[in-house]
Amino acid sequence: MKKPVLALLCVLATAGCATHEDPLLTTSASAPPLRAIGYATVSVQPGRTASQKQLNAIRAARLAAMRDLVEKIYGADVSGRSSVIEGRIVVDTARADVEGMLRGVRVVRIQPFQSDVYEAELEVSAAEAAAMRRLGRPHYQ
Amino acid sequence: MRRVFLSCAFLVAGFSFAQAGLKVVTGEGRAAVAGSVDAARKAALAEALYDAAGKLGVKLRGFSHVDASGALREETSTLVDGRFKGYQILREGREGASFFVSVEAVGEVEQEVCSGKRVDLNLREVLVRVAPGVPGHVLSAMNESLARAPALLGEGGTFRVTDQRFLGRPRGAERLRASETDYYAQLLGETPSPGGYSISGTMVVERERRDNLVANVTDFVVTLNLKLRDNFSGAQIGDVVQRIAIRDRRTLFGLDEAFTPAPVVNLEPLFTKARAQLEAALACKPLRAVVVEAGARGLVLSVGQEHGVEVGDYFLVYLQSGRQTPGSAWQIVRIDEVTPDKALARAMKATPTIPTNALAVLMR
Repeated sequence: MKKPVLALLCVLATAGCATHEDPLLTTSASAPPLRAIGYATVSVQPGRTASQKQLNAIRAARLAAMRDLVEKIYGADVSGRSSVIEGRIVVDTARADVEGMLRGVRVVRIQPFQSDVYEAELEVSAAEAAAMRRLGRPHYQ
Repeated sequence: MRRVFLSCAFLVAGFSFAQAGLKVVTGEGRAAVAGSVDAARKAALAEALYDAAGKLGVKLRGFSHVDASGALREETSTLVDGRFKGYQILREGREGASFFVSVEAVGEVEQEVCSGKRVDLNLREVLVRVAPGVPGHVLSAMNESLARAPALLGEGGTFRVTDQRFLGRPRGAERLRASETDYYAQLLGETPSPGGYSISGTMVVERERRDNLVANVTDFVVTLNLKLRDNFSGAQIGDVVQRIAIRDRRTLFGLDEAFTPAPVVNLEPLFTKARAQLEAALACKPLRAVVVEAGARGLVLSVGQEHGVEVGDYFLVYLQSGRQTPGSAWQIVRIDEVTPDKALARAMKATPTIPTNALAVLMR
């Protein structure tokens, strides 16, 4: 009887020792870069001329991609509120907050996606992403 | 030419031997030409600098909010706050209805670079002082251990040790005292590294008694006290102090003296601890080099592959320390060829010219 108990104890004792590598903390040079894509519509942008609107759309698309990168590196804080009064939903909202510091972002491509949409793809190396994550989020006042 | 190397204006005042990380970043900017080309050019340049600053760091904050009706509200804001030592325009010109500018800038980054490079560390004179009464075989063992010190210290990953114990302790900036070490340089092929660091000091061997009521306990205590100096400035930047006790005699009422074995002198743990202390002190120091030759073919820097330098690396060369004349106090050089201990570089700008003995700092 003692032997199975001992074996079980050994299994339980070593069960917690299994480790797994967080892909966002890897510093391996061969790890693939982290990529994100952002889109923006040209016609809704402010600007007097078509080219000004186009340039603003490029900026907006790039910003959207950067936001996606921040979410991938630091994650998002998701919060929600739902209220039911007399069996009827009165309030039902969801909110996702992202914040972080980006360094070493490289533009992979920026190109028109459709006639009125621009697409921006950005990337950051796995080592940079790991370093950013280790440093943690910046603290805003 | 003037157009290409338009301005090396400082965006921030002040020029010092800042030891924070330096990084070369590029940026591109476009602006729509709506009337004045000059206004579009300025806007594109501002955009390019903004882009370059963004590569040094962008703080981003945003939220998405969905209410019960399914309406989505999204907001994203960014804060770009980069500090540049200077920049140069790589390319500019009109492209259709917009004006394009690309720049290369030298920016300061908060984080230090602590890997991928090895600074020079010269092991200079280490005096061994022995207290009276220490047996001769202990002294010879100390000297033998000291002879192995360069090999033990050399196992460190962040510095490259050269054995120069035949040279006295540094007394000032090494680049200004080359003539004093020329003889040894020709004789032994070892010269102090003007852009590196050096350690020198003393190793004191004493006998310590810690007797109690029943036992006589005697140890040899070895204290290593090394001064870490910056070869370029000659300044002392740190101390390495380590102590080790070596068992000598253990007797009980003086009865078992005949059975006490001879002390085993092994200073490896002492130098291992010293190495760890040096690693901590030097790991994040920037890799510096000195311009040893400046000619028409380019510049020869005093660092090479053994220091972690690679083709394509950039060095910031300080020309006049303490001078704050915009555009004349620094140059950027790019490494074209690397040998084990030297690197051939070319300047990114035509002026100012770089003299020998100028200090260059690796930027990554």
